[in-house]
Amino acid sequence: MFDQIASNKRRSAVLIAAFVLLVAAVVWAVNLLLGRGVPGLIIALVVAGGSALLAYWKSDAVALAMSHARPADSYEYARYHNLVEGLCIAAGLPKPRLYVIEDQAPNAFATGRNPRHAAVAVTTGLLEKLNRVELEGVLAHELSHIKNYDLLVSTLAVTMVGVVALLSDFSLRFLWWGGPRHRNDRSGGHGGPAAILAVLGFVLLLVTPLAARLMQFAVSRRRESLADVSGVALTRYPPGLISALEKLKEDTTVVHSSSRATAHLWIESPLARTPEEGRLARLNRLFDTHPPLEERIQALKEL
Amino acid sequence: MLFWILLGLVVLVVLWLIATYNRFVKLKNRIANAWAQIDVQLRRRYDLIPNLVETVKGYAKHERETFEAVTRARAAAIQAEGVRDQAQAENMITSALKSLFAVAEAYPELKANANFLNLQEELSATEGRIAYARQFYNDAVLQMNTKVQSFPSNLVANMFGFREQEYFEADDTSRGPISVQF
Repeated sequence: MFDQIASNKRRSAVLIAAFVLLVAAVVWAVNLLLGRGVPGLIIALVVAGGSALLAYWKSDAVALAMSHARPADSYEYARYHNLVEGLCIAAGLPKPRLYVIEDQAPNAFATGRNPRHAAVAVTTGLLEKLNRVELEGVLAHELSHIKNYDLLVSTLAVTMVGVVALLSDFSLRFLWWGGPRHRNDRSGGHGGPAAILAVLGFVLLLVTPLAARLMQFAVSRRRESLADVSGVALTRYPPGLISALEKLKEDTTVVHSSSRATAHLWIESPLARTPEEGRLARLNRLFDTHPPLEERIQALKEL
Repeated sequence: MLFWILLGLVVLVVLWLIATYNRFVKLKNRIANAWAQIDVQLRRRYDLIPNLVETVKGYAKHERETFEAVTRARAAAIQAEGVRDQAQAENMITSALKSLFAVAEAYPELKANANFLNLQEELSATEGRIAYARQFYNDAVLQMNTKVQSFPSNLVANMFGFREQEYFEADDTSRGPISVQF
């Protein structure tokens, strides 16, 4: 179990490092083609970083408002409160604010920029359909998101996607409308290697926004698996979460107030899923924010 | 030139020493905190019991021995000194509570009482909290022991006297088969 946690953390670190390399590659390409790589990077960082920081800071308020969550009363939802309190003791976390969402679909999410400003929301459907140990497993998964600073990680990923997208976009437009600016007589126009590099840079600019998006989804999936295993490390009871995930698999109702923007926060993808087979399905899965439920159940069973 | 490299190395080593020492301090304090937290949860359980006894007494006046067993066990636990005595007293409370809830099964009006249900939920949640507090304590001890035993932090541990801590282990009696009697 501890090995699983370590391996998940390692893989997400590798993904983030790859992200940084991607950004560096884009900056190199822009520098090559336009000669304005570093200032471009700074502008893109400020824009993407600034908007991401704002989203990150206000993430809990936004997510809760978007899903129409209301605070959970501690008398009416005693079991919910008690389970979270117990898990917080096990995790050494301060107790987050608890919310409830009126919706038949069973689902839950956790948000907040750090453990002291965190919030957890569950749907009434989840509270009704799961028994005590299953609910505990789900809550442990959500608290693990908070403990592992997953919102920070996904904000980092989103920022880098933004930087890559902005840089590529600007550069491609400049190239299209203004043509490449030659820094000096040495570079460009000498054919051969310079042309190949230019083409490579151009292709990079076209491809990296998509690659960055795919990597962002990969990071999201990795953090979800990490939250699964960390959650079980809290409860020390894999069957709880396994049984909850199996119930989630059977239930196909969709959360009413979900959207693509916040899909990555929930425990199970809140958007409608149609089971599909074939090569296109595999491509589609690259865009999933969550690993498929069967895979998650299998991974937990092997613990 | 060589002088500056050596100086740089010395600075790095000193920084590492400071960081490792501080880490040990943090782990040691976390363990102490975790131990105290177990007591907090135990106390919460003691506080819930009188209320529970009163509620049940209102409906089941004749089950005197059961009430007295619970009250005595609670008093013994509050006065217990030392880990072993406390663990034994805790086990007594647990079995006394089990009998109390078993007795309550025979009184349907009691089972429908909102206060009783609330207390039952609170008590079972408290049992969970006690277990989690002990788990957190053991996790903290694990981290500390790993750090004390690993190289090179064991050098720092030996230098400054940081030692391995003891795990909280289940009492021998509670490892045996549990008998449920109705």
